[in-house]
Amino acid sequence: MNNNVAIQCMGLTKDYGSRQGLFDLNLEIKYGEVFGLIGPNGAGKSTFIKLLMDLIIPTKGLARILGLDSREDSLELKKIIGYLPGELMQFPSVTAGYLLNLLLNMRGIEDREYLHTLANRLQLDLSRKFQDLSHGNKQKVALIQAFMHKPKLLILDEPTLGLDPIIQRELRNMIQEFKVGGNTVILSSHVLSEVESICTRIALIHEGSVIKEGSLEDLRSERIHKISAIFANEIPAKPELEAAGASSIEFENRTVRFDMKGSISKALEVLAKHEVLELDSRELSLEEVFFSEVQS
Amino acid sequence: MYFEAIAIAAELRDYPGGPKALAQSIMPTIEGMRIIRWPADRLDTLGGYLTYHNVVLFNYFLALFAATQGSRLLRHLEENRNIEFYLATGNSRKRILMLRSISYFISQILISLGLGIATAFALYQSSEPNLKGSLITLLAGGICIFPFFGLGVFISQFVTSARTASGLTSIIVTAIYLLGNIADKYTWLTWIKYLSPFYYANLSRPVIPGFGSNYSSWLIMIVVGSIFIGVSTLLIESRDVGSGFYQRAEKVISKKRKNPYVPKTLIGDILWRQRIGLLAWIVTTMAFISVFISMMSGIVDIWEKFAFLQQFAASGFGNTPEQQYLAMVYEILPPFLAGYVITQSSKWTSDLSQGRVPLFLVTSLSWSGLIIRRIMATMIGIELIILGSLISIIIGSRAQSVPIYTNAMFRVFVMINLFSLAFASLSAILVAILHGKNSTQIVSIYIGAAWMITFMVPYLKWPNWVIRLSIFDALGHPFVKWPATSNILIILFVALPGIFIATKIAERTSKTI
Repeated sequence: MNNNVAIQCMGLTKDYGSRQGLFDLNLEIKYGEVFGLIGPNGAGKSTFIKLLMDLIIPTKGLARILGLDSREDSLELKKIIGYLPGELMQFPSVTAGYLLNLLLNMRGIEDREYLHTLANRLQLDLSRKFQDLSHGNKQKVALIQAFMHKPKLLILDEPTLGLDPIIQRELRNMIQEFKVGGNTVILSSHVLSEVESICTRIALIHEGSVIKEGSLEDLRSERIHKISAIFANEIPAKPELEAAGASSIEFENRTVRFDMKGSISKALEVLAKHEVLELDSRELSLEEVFFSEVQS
Repeated sequence: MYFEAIAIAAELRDYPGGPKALAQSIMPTIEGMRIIRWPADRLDTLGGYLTYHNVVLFNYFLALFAATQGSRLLRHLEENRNIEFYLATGNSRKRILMLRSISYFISQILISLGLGIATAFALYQSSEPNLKGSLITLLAGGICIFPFFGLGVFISQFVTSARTASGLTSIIVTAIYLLGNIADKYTWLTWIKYLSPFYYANLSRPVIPGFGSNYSSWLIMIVVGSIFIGVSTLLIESRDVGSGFYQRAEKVISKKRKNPYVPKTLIGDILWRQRIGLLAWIVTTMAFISVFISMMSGIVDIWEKFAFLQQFAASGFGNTPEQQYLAMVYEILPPFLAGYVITQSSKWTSDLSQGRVPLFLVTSLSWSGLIIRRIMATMIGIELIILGSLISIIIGSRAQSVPIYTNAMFRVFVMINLFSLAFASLSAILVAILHGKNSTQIVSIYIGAAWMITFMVPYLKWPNWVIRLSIFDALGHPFVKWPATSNILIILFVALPGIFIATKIAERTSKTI
């Protein structure tokens, strides 16, 4: 295993039957990366995370995390992993403070200062009963328990679920600060814009398999621009645009619409040969790119 | 009940002097124990005996069920916020309350009819058929306890927890039941029976030869229950969802608890979070045993008149009437403790379904570690219940001037601990194998069946291997003597390797549902 690799999955599989689960996942995540898992509901993101956390047992394959085996060394790993479960737990009759203090006690940690710092940052009132908290506040409790023992690796399943925009921004800051020390983060989401704003590398999971993976830069090079131009008189011919790399070309009176993948400079050269009255160019978001990938 | 009916029919048939002599001989004991079960009429008939022995208790337990259902009817929906989904569908609070109340009432009728059919079947098999009487008697119980359901709904309007409402209503049900049983003994207490739905249920017992029905009492009880529900609809329409009447929602939200006590360990957390429930178990067991001990002198005086005494003596239940009585009292403990273990296994299941298990496991606690800690917490609870019971018996024995049988108590202490550990291990294995699904129900059914067959096998002369399937048989009667070595080994075999097996199975299964 490469020294620079924090997580390595080799043929990791969890087969629930009926094509449900995660299949033959081979993946490497480097130290210091913020790795995003993207995919629709039921794609296999949470299954992957639960496999890493040894909450479910792989059908085959293995995962090594920070140099340790996810199954054999799971107890050691949990000391250095902060984990946010995808589903909110229920804890009747106790306060948020009780729950978090109990979990710290179970970890054998005496210091409470960092817990209170996190609670202040996320604006959580620890004296409120857990069952009375709103969805977002329960999510804050779950987030604090993931951060409070100062782990080296964060595994967050849908971390911004239920959080308001201000707290989402604060969470992004916390993740960035966490990453600065060379720590690694894996987070899952089905909201791509959220992943885009935090992650350095992204994998798109669909029906239990990774269908696309790469850094943001890699993925950006595949981005598509939707271009619309209105001409004063003559409009460019279709072969001319196709030769420049345009696709999905549509004509409507003196308006031309087409898609360009990657650089748009060649298309601009073609357009410049004619009198352009209006030009509108819009880059497809990663979300739209991935959506089209899933559809294809 | 079927087996019981066959056994009682045989006893009535074969008793020297006939059924009336049997009824007369047991009447003093029944009178002595009337606080827990009353009225007793025509015990010389199977219908009369089954009504006294079973139907009266059915009504009590159905009343507790009704009270709990009423308390949870809306409050539980408010607690888990599912009521918001119901309300979002355009249904009013009043309509939801009405629809759910009608659903409950229908289910209550079906349960009562089911019990009526079971009673009729038992009577039919014992050559005393009475289908109509059985159905009407049980239906009367199911309908006449309707006010308790309404009371549960009503009380739940004032508190914010279904558990609190259910606890308060159950206390009222139990108090009315107990006081109603002894109301006729004290003239100053007679009035209370007229407030008791149990009294009106008992007006319709046509399953007893010579007894009829009183349908107007059914109507009155339905009206009383409906009044409670009607008032509750007014209350729920004029309060915030999630809050109690007299309590604004903002007050609920602003309820804060500064610096709560936080246990250092998971075992401490388990015990601390269920401290009130555990206390209730201890107090209930102590109260139950104290009631029995308080009745000892009266019963022992007439003990020798009973036909049953010979059976106990033949079973080796001690040499003196006091020993025999105490042996009977100690027999109460194992089912109580089994019940406590069942509640614990139910909590283990809800830990899994409510997402707490992953949270515990990420604190670098292993699955095995979690199971062992749960069993340890259960055993600490068991110790406290046993301790409370022994204290009750010691105090009761002193008050009754009966010797404290130290050796016998030691045997009980050791064996009941092993029994509880074995049962906890068995429950842990089932929870691990079934992943929580139906494990509590299976354990409950096993305990009920295991308890029953210890009585039924000798009575019905079934093959001896059947009784060996019961953990109660392996436990034997430790107040009287140590169980056979083979039985101790069976209990040890279930207890110790059981924990190991449970952890091994758990390690190989998922930790989430």
